[in-house]
Amino acid sequence: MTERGRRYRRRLLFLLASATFFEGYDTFVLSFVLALVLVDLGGTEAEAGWIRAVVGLGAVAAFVLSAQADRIGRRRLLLLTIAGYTVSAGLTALSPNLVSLAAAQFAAQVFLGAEWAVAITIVVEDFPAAERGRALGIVTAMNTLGGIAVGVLAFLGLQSTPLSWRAFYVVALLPLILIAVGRRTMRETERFEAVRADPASARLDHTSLWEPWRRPYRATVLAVGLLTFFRHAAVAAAAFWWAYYAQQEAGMSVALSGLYLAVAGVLGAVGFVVAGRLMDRIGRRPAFVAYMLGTLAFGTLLFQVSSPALMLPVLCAAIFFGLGSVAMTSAFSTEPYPTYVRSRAAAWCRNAFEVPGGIVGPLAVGLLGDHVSGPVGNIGDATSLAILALIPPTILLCLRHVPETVGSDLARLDRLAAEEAPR
Amino acid sequence: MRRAVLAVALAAAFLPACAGADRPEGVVERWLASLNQGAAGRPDRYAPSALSDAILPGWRDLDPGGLDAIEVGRGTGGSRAAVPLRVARLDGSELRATAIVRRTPLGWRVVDLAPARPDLPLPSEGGPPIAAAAAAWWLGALGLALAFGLASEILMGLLRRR
Repeated sequence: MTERGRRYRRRLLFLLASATFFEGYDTFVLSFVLALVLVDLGGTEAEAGWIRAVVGLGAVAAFVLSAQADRIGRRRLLLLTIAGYTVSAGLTALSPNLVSLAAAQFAAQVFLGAEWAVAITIVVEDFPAAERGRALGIVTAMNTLGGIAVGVLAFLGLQSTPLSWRAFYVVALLPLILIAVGRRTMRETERFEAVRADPASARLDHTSLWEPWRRPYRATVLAVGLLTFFRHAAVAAAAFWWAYYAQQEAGMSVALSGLYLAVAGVLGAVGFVVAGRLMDRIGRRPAFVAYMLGTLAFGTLLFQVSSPALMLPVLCAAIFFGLGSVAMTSAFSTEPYPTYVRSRAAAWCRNAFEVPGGIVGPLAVGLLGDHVSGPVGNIGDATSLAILALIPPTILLCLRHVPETVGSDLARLDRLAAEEAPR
Repeated sequence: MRRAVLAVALAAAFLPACAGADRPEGVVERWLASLNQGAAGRPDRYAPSALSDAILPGWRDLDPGGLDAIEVGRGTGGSRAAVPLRVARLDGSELRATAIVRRTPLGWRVVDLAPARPDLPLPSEGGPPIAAAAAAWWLGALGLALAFGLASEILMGLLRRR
């Protein structure tokens, strides 16, 4: 691990952080420019809803692509996904109608979903055990900063340029530079190379999507999968509905809520870095439980506060704990598994559990809190209820079924997997 | 037996979620939100164009986002409801009014705008929100957390036994 040195790891971290930055950027940009898109290309709110659904399915379909990292290697898949995303962003910018826009954004989500999973796997495999948490914290924090960048660009008036909404997707062509840098400087992870070079590895199944559900791994896959589903359903519901709650139910202006989101996003992003350091110091499980308790308290409170003076500190704390906890779930979904199956296990946790959670959570809150027909009729209360119902099970699952992986020796895991492989 | 108990608990938790409502306040809010999208929002689905013009003059030719703040409060009951509203326009001007909403065979429709009524305060003036979760909902959420925890335990148990 020390062979490649600090300098290489710093460069690698920059490359991976830039990749996850654009994952966050693209996730936010569509909802931000949708109104302009509808005016420009012609469309209704109902059609906008369909676009959202189709694009969301892209993140689920990313599962098949993410799992290929165990077959073709981490480096190749990362560069492929960055190239694929850039092409999709270019096609989005050139879209002449809503159908082509939806198709291009579906493809973008397929590549971005896979890019995220492989970036996390690379961090876990190429950083020493003592630095892994910190590196995960930085890489996952960039995702939130990518979302904030959309707000900053909008604040600077990018949508008022002659390209209008298309300008946001022209910015998304920047990762092309990453491909140029990555092709020259990035190497395959040492763990992946070591496993591939081991003759015993030939007996392991590097291709089946069902391999993570074999007896040694399946309990962890299910426990981490359920945990990420519940956590993301609650966090995605809060992230999706906060602006609506602030503007429609707390009486804040669009400008003020946008400013709050930008400030709290930057301050809250510290939560990722702290999470990374904390999980290296006290362990993944205690850090996760602490973050979930913070999410439960501040997430529930956030949607009950209507005073602008109280809203900002509570929003900062909710983002700090709620979004910051993704550093731990990234570790849970990669570290417990040997290298030959790690990417597929991460793909199951991310694309088969976390992403659907991100669809179900906001949908449930919308149905419950709808001001016309929802049985609760209040988005703030519905979101608080969702957080109350969804966060406690994550704590239970973590304490009872998720293994502690702080300082885990990945080489030992690989040796054990090779020894247990069928002869 | 354990699975039957779980199924009943989940059904009990989800039953209230199936109950529907039909609030005129939500329609007023949708009208203002669609008006804020300009012509693409098609606010005429909820109110006559003349009323939309009173809220946001020239809305057909404006870019989306002409309203910086939209606030709707709890209105009166009946088939002809009065709903308090406030909008802040991007030019800094504000309008505080009462929307008159009538139930039609196709649903609620905004039919008139009246001056603000002191007996119908907005949430920012200390009035109630459009709706709020009753105590049973909060207890139900805690029950659902227990049910989710229990369901996860059963799933994990089944998987480990196989």
